[in-house]
Amino acid sequence: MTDLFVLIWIDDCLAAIPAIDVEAVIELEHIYAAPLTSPCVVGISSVRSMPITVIDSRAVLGRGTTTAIGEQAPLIKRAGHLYALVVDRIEGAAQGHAMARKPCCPLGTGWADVTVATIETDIGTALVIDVDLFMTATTAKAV
Amino acid sequence: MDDLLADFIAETRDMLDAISGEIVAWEANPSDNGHVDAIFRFMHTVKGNCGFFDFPELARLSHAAEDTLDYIRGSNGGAGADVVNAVLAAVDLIGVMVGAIEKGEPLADLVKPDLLAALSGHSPSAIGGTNAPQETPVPCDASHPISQITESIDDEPAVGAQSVPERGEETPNVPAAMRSVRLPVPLLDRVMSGVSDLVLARNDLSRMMFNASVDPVLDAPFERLSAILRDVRDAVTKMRMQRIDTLYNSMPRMVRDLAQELDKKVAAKFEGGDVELDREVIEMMRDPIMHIVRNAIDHGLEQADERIAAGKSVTGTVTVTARQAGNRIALVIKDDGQGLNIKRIGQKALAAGLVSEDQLARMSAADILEFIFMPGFSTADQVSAISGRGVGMDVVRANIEKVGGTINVRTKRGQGTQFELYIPLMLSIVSALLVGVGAMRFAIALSAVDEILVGKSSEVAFSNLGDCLIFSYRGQQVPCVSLGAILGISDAPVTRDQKFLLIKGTAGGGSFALAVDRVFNNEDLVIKPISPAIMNASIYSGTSLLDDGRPVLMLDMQSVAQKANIGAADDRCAALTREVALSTPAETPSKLLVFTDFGGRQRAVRMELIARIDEIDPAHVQRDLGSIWVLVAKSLKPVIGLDAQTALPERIKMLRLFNGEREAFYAIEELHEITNFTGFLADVATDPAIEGFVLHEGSALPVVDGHHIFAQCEAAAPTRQAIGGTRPVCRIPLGDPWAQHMLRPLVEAAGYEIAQREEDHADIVILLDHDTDAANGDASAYLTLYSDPEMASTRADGIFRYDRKSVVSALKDLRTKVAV
Repeated sequence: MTDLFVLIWIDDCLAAIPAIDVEAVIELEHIYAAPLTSPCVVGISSVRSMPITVIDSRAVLGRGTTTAIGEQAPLIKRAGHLYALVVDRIEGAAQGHAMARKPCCPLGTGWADVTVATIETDIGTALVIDVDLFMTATTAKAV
Repeated sequence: MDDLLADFIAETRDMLDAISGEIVAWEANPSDNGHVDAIFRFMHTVKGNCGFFDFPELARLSHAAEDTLDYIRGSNGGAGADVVNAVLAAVDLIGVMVGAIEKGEPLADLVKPDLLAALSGHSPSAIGGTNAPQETPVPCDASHPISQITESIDDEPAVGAQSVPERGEETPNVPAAMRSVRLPVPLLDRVMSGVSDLVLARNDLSRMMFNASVDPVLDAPFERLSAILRDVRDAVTKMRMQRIDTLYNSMPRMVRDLAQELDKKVAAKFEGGDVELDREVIEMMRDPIMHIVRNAIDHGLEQADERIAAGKSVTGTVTVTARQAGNRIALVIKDDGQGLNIKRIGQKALAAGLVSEDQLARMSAADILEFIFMPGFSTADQVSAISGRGVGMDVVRANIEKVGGTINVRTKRGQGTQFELYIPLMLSIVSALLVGVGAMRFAIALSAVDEILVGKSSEVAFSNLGDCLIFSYRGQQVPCVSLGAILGISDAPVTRDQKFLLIKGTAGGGSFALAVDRVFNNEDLVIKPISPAIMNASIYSGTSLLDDGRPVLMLDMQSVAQKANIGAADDRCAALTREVALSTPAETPSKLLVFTDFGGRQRAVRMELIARIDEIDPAHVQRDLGSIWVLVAKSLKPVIGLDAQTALPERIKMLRLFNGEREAFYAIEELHEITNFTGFLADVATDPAIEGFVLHEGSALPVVDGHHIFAQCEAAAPTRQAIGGTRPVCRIPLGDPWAQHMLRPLVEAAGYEIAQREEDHADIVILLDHDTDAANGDASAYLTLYSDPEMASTRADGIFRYDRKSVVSALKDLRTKVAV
């Protein structure tokens, strides 16, 4: 049985988010800064009159901050709140079978905290991001 | 009481519905005691609720059934079929009784002694505590064999407990018309937030339609959608609202118990129970109000002998009044007791080290009263179970501030104390002020802001106290913090180009001045929760979307104060504030607002007169109606300070003046600062519009006379809006269409009531020229209108009926005559 994933690039690394966790892929137009928040939070924005928190994926993974914000961002809903993930770019969607990650190579901090599996795609192996772990990392870093 | 009864009926029905499944299951398997618990709880609740009402039959029935069920629960073997039948019959009978209660029918005939006997026959008292073996009919009363009982139950058409499927058909307890439904609050919240989203989505759509210049054909349906949405929003808002009666309902009992305990005679009055507010606000206000009422009875009201000695009636009064004031509710809790002892409060504060002797000596009564809101402060010498532990007023204030409300106290020794609470109608909609720092915008709850001051004003001064910047205005000093610095946006020093918001002191922090770059408008915002990632910054309280669709973060002022360490320095700064306040002369200063009027002259007006300052679109100013009016909230209000020729700017600033009864608008060209003056105005004015002069920046500043302004407006205003005055009655020809359509509005606008019938008393009578023979009767004045201008000119008092000016002035003259 295969699942559908949204493929994204973060810090030149191919990653996949289960499509079931992605509400939509949105165009981020205006982002308004939210001072005093952690570097993971780029700011707030709105989509269809709903407030969203814009999250910098690189910062969450501890890989600096994204300077050029891509046009499209996956929208994720957790605990009633909407989050847009700023990623390098969105590759598209892919069917795949997630396999538990083999500890063959060290992924480095950040990635290891948020991924549990990998999938094979046409363009290579992608790390599957567990959205709950990702959000936990975001909130933990936000303190 | 009616509401209580309706609640009881609804609740009992709900429970009946809820346990119907248990009943069926229990009937199917009588040995399973798990189902008995649910039915037992039902009986127990019904019995308990009956205590509030006078339904002895229902109480007896539920009590008997409860006993039986209790016994069954205690026995290991479960219940026999007869017992099950009897209990089920009881359950059904309760349904019938509830129906009868609703219809107001007597219950006495409904209870069959057989049923009660059958129930009591199974109760432990009859059995003597032995465990009845399963399936063994309890031989308690040979004269009522089970078959007979069941039969007698079946005779009762409404009580068909024999077979479950029939029960629904046979129970005629369904009310003819559903009066109310009970909904879970979370569902209401969901609908509410859904509608809020709809409104935002509509705004979004409207914005897009505007930007894309879409086909005007869409306008009409869009308008319709907007109108429907407005209606739905209003309706949903009302759904969340609850009458404050629900809060009052529990009070009389508490007052009675407390009065009895303290051996005092107390009459509690609750007024304005029909005022509605958000049910969540009601819940949050319950404890604070209870606390204040309890305090009033315990500490405020004296013992009977003291009251008699003081010449008061033996019965003390506690009044709770609610009324709506704009989008806030004013709740006043008043007692006619001994009042707060300000001297003692001062001494206690001194003893607690909250204030120095020197400071205390110079503090005003109002300042000293503020101590009662300090944590751990109590003036009660004796700690009672009711109050006096000093855990209270600080919590009360904190709770009220949590919902964005305020609390004030006033007291008069020997005459009583009055607490005034102002609380918002809704929690989710907040009146907010939008401020700008750099390119960013933030919202601040308006309830937290006391005043906005312009840095350039001569009233404002800055000084340094160590690293703390002190902001001085009108003899007050507060610490000043820059919002930009707090948020880490800019480290530029505070400059005079900025605006300063005076933030009210709260339980968590002292008052301070917040420097912002810009102050935009205020807006009613629907505040939504924000994600934990942003909440973790501990400075925001929510987010909202502005009308232009951009999101804005709402700043929590208490957190800002904490970030700026204002809370920590509270005592010092509060003392500082008082110190300066006290060094000014003993008379309380009055505040004046200085402005430039449309004649280019500088004037001042007393602050107490100003309700608020509006910016008005010139399109709403009506200058073709004789006097000048402004259309505000669908009603016309008089405007002064303008004439027909004045060139109007894009937005007109208007001072909204309020004399306690009516409003008037004073158009001004430019707004300056607020200034203080003490003592009296120099009365050298010859102009009736000027009350007097104050010395301001080295020159005499005329202060406009509020009395004169309202006198002017009164003369021009449609008198029907005047409160309290009775209007003279005018009779106009009833059958004449011209009189009805053309004359009537004019006469009404001139402040008359129109006589409904020919034979009604009228103060003045208006006649038309073809109808002069009606000029008899009890009226004190007559006015004849002529349809022919020539004819009118030949008569002494003749007025041509289309000579509006003359008609109006004649009506006005007559009114003064009639009034005399």
